[in-house]
Amino acid sequence: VNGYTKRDGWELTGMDWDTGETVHRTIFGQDNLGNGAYALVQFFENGDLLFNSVGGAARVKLE
Amino acid sequence: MSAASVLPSQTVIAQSAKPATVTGPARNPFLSAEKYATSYFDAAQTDAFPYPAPRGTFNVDLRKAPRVPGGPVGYMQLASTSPQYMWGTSTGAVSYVDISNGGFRAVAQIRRRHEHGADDEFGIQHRICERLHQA
Repeated sequence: VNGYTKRDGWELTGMDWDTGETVHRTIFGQDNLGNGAYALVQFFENGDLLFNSVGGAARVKLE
Repeated sequence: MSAASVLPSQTVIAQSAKPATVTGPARNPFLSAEKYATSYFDAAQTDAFPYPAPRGTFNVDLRKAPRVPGGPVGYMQLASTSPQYMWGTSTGAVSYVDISNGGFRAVAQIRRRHEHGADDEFGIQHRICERLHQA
């Protein structure tokens, strides 16, 4: 889920389908590029995030 | 931990990090790839991709990530007939993107020409995108 909170800004949150536990957070902060504008979230096979930002698609290495 | 749910935009399903047997629909031989070749990821419109998403918390500066300018809406990027390239699609541009070796670089792009009045919806979106790119 891509969303926004006042405290952390824009973020991508992933939850375990079975338990509902939050298991993934990619925090973009207050930068509006973190707004996905209702786009789909994609991942590459190597675990890189393909984030379809309001400012264009970006490839993000999560380290 | 707070849930980021004030403005939920889209939800997709990632396969669990635990290996599992996935039985999906038969591959459509007319599509360029089994996943990402069409909207909603596959011929069955599952919104599900088979790659495990990393677990943990990651702080990311999108300004430092390779990005193909476009937007404001880029619903998804599509697989091409080559696994080394993807089609970048958005309301602002159509791009052919080299994704080989962990990269993400547009090698060809057709940008949408702004022909509408400055105050219509596309004009406003266009100006927002231009400011985002310049920031």
